[in-house]
Amino acid sequence: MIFSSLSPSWFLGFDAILAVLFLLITGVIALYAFKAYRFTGQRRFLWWAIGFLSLTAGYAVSAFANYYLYARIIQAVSSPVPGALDFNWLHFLGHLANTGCFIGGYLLLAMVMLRFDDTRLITLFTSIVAVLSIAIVLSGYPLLLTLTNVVLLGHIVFFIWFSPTGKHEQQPKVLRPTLKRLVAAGFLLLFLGQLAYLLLPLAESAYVVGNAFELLGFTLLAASMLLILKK
Amino acid sequence: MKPKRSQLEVIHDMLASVQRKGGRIRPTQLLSKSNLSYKMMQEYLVLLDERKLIKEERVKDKKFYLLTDKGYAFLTEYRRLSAFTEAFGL
Repeated sequence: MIFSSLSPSWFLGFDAILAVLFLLITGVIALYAFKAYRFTGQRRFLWWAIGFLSLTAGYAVSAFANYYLYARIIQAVSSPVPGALDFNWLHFLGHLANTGCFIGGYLLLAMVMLRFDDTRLITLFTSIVAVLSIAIVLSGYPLLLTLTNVVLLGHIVFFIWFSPTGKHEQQPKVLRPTLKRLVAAGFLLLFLGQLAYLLLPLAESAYVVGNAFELLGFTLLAASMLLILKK
Repeated sequence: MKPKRSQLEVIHDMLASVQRKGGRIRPTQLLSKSNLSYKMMQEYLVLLDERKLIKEERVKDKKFYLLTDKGYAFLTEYRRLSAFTEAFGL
């Protein structure tokens, strides 16, 4: 999230490091989904890969923007030069890319779970995402993005939790529900992270709490992927 | 009614049957375990042989099908994939 301007000063820079970590985890999931697409030829895996790749791109933008912001603040403090903190253009472009990537990514994931894999539908929703992203950025209310993410992540958690458990005889019986619960818990923590970001106008510590929830959520997703790949 | 198995599932079921028999199976056993008609099984055997997932072996005029390394790798990947599919609710 590009909300560094609302972050406590001691946390500046940490958010960029966390964004790099998140982009690595989402990148691994995207790569594995693409591998699954190559293996099965099923398009839902391709959309799933693109969804996670979109999140990866979102975190890449976040990492870059937050690091740049942090570096500019350090520079402005050490050698005050008029205009050193002029990062409006970065905030605007960063927000636009960030918003589009996150809404697009989560929307794609939710659509795949709803078994929408029609290219025409995906194209329609992608266009809506582009318009929505521009509208959110121009509106000057970035928390609208967070609210959209809360809604989408809420759906994703619900879909995963209530998705049927298959009968793959060669998987250990105990591990099957554990993995599903682990992934659902991961997305639930990401959902709580977005909820925390909604409280940003009230308290700047919400930024740290949101990042902490995201860190826990992505740790669970990474653990799930490790368990899957260890099989 | 059970949904029709996809090609990938049929391949997995056949290879898993061979694996359960220790990596070597007789055609009659494979026919009963894979739940396919004789004609369909022949078609799939050609496919599996082309993809080098199994190989035919003859011992004293008896025909056996052996699981290749590629076949074992396919089963491992399939297991990972089904775990991934299930875990993420896909």
